[in-house]
Amino acid sequence: MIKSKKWLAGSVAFALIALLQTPLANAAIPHVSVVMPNQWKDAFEPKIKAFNGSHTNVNIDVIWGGAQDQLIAANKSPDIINTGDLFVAAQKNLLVDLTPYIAKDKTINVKDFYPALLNAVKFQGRQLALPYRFNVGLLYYNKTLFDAGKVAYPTAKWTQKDFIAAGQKLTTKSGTTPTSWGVGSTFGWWGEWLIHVRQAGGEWLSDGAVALDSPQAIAGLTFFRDKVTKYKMSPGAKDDALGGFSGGKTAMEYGGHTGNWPSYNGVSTLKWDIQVLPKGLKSSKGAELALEAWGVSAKSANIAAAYAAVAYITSADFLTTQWTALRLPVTRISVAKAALAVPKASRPSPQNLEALFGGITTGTTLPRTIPFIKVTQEVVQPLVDKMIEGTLTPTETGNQATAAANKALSILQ
Amino acid sequence: MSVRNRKDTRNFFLFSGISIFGFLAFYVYPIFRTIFLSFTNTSIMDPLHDFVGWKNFKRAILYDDVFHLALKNTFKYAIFVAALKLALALLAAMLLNNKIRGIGIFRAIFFLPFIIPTFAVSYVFRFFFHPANGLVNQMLKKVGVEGIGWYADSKTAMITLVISSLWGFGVPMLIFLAALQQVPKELYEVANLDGATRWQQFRVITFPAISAVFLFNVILSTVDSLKSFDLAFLMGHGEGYPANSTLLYSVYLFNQAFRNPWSLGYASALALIFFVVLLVLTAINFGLGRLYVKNEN
Repeated sequence: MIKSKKWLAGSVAFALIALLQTPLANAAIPHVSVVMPNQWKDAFEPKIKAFNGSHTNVNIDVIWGGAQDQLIAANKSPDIINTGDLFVAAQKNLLVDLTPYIAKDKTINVKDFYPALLNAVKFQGRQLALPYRFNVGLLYYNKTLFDAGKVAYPTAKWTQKDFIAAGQKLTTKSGTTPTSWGVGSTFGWWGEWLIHVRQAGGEWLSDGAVALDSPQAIAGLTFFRDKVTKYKMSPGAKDDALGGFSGGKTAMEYGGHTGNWPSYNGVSTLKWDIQVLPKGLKSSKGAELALEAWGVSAKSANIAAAYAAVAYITSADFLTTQWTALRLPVTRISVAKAALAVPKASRPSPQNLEALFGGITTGTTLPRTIPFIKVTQEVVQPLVDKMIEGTLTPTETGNQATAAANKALSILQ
Repeated sequence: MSVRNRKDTRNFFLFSGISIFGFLAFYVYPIFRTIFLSFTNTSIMDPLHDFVGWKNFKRAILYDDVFHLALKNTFKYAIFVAALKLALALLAAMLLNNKIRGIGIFRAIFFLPFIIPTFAVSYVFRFFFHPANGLVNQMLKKVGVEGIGWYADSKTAMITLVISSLWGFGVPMLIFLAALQQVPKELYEVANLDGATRWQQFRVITFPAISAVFLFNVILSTVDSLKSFDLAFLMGHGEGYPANSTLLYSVYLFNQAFRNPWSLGYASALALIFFVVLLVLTAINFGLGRLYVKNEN
């Protein structure tokens, strides 16, 4: 009898141990989902696995290469949402206000985030996300072409005059066929022309209305056109762009995008670096500052767990991997400081990280309270396209764009 | 109900059930859902929404200048593409209706473009029409003609899109070919004996004989060109580049629903307006068809 009791107790204990090892036990750990691109898998998968192995309050399930928007549309929103400064307005009811979670969290060290980046995803007083990467407009330059043209590399003190002189000197032709461009052109979106407008003292939005008809904005638009038509240092829409900056035959790119770094570094022959933008017509400020951030879906069944996961994937530890393995510009001051502590000569391209992180304080975010992307792309950009074609003058462009954009805004608001 | 009838009914539901379910789930439900959404301000990214009555329809019809431009572009595109595609398809079908050696190979060659993905087609045409170093402008240069901007110029981008869209005339061609093969050869023999010219033979024999199929192809090509999406999306960078010149209705509708600010409600209203437009145009086509379709009897 005693023997059989012992046997029974042993069996129960064994069964309990076995049960703890089963997925049923794991099911007690809240699982939260997030979509990440496949290109990040090698860098992040080991970190996520290690996190999941050491945490009992949350496990992160990454949907590699998934389509976040489609999942949300299908009412299968991931728990963690990839958002950004230009998206928080439209997603204000989809994203959870993280403020109370941050207040309770003693490990987050929210002051470690660059304030400008943290504020950019704060909407109507609610912290809707935590930033993890950013882009700021910079001057990208091809060292090989500068060396070949015997032109000194751009400095932080460059003016528009220096920029034009270098751009013209580095534009070369064989007969009428261009063999290299001094500066690339960004067509089809606001990435470059809005910087020129802002550096000339203009703005897209002033006192709640579009103000591209101001003399300053028109001066900025004029410079954007003149790069092609007057100074002849940039390709027009009909010219051969020679593969753009990554093609290795374009000496400079005005504005650029940090999202293009992997493709630039993927070209082994491309030796490149960055510099702060030259002083424009009025100011050196005006570079666009944009960012991406992780937020928590209001539809998540595990909001607290999702917050814990967001806190991890925006932690200094995780962002260090993001920077070292993927070179995605990070949003925490401590990680940036560690990157800046590496001697310049030992850094891979781009080496001038002082310009990158310095750009956070000098860069300007885009309007968030209005459907900026929609109005700019559908209404303003077509007129800028026509200006580049030569169909409209910069003044006509500024005037028509202002009237059309303000009309569109009045309908949408 | 007899046993036989019960069995028939059971078999009817058994065999047609899947397609009835598919029809209800993938056609009927989306239609009713679209009608419902069109009266709301639903956004994919916003779980909250309100009923807005006819606001979306009013905005589209009365105020949205970009929508009006997209509509105009679509009509322009559809008229040219449908007309040219039909003409090319009929011409090719008539050529392929001849009894010559290796005709099967020629038929396959003409149909082949239809099965090539639009993605690849758009890249090929971008290579052909590149303003600086594209094949077409290089050839024009060789004969001393100055090339044009093609897809990079708002004045010529629509023409480029129309030319690129003519690529896939394989389906209407096959339909024409099938109809042409039904025309009795004796009619042509008699016409030849009477000394009728090729044009007279086409006008009096061929066209009346295939007029019903012609109407079918007109409707098919018109609807097909009006709802064209992929090529315009790819060649216009998804935004009707340059200067909204290639912005078609379907591309605009897609952008409203699936790009910031993801206005699914407004896009649904646009879809319903489009449905009405298609309905009217199809009715017009049927009306015009009465003028030229000859009854076989």
